[in-house]
Amino acid sequence: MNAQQPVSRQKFLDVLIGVGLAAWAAAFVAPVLTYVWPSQRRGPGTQTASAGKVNEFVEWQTKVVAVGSHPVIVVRTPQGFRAYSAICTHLGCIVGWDVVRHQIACPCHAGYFDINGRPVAGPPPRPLAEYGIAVVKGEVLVKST
Amino acid sequence: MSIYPKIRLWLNDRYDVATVEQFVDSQIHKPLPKETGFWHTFGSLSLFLFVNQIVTGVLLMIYYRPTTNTAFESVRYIMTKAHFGWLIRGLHAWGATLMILCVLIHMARTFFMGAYKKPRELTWVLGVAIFGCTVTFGFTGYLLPWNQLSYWATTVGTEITGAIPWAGQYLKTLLRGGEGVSGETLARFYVLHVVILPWALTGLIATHLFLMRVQGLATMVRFGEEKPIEKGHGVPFFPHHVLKEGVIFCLLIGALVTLIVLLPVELGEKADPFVTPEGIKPEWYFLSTYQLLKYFPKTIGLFVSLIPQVLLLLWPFIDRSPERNPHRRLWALGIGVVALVAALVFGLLGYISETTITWRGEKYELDVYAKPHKVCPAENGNAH
Repeated sequence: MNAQQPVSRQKFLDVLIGVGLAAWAAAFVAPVLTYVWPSQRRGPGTQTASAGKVNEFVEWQTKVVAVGSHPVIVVRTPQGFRAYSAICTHLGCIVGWDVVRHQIACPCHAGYFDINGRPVAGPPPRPLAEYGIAVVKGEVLVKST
Repeated sequence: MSIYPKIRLWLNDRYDVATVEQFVDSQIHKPLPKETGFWHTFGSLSLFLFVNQIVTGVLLMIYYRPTTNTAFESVRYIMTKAHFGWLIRGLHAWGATLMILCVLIHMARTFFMGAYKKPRELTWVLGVAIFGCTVTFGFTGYLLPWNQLSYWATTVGTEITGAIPWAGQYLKTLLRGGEGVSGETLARFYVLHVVILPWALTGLIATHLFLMRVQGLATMVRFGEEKPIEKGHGVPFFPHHVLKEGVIFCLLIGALVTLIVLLPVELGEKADPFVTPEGIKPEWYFLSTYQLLKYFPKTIGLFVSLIPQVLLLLWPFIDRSPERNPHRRLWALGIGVVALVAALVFGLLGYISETTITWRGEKYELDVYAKPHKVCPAENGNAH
């Protein structure tokens, strides 16, 4: 049976200095890392923006508007207005409207979304996030949810 | 009496000048293997282009302002108002392209001549890190003019980072300085481009050169059978090899100036975060990755495009046969050629995709996969 060896003073001081140096280094590095991490203050929970007057849109006409700092694509369909985040879920390009296919199209890597925002062709992995629409006194309002 | 002996005497009273002179002399007249030829000059050319990037970069920094309101305008000022600004920016932009080309040729030469093998594995690994640093230089510098192409290439490039499992989203936010590409991204890329990367690359190049001088250039002899070059044999570094480098250097300067004059670097339109232009494409050295990403979902595409880089890094530890002669290691030669051809084919497909060509009087539209579709005269194209 091994008798427990006492820790020598030298060893104890080595460990103490090592831990102290590591703590000192961490105290130096931590504020630097925290400084580099962007401070992300979010704005109000719901934001609203006007996409223009109803009569400015003919059927299947689209427009990209800013809701806060987010681009949103607004489409006028025969059933009414629809709004989706205009940021492609693949690699972040701004989507547009393909008049031939009647689909939302990404110009970067040929991703296509149907009128419900679901990906139907190409590499986008997720649907486009939907935005709320309200028509108030002839004005099309887009609302983040 | 010329001034040099006086200066030497003054220095010699204070330092051991003779030892320094002996060291410099031994380095200048160091004999190189007989195989050393024009293909061996691309390392020095890469170094020269790096110096060109530093000098022109410092000059560009005098007028460049890294904010979203001023970056585009300051580059326009450099190109249109500053004396010889067009030349300085041209030297910087085309210099970057040629530097990547030279580094690639240098790596291909090292690969095909088996110079990465024992005992030079670490020199190769450092070389791959230099290549990675050079490409990152290109990526960070591309955003600085803050035009449409640069903005959207950066958006796509940083979005790919987000596909890395677990850490991806954090890395993306850290790189961008927020959710999207913005002024924060510009500031971060500027710091990376003008401070962190230059020092990192300087350190890597210095270590790479040090190892190369200490171990000497590889010959075509199997490892373990190499012998030191005897005096009077081999090719003297000076003047023989330096002369070769001088010839290639002059050709490079000629090519650089010709490119600047005949294919001036454009500025395009100012970045608009709400409009992605049609058919945006990255710089030529990212074209193969760009095309590859069209065939795979994001995460798989990322890993597929990382395979060549990881293979490059680990190659000296995978191919451990003692042979250096390419004729005696055909499978390595085959893999190298297939990788080069694949990069060229994917790059070419990326380049010609989403364009229109005319073939034997017929007009064709090439889709995102570069597949041709005949255009009927009455047919209208897509509109967004």
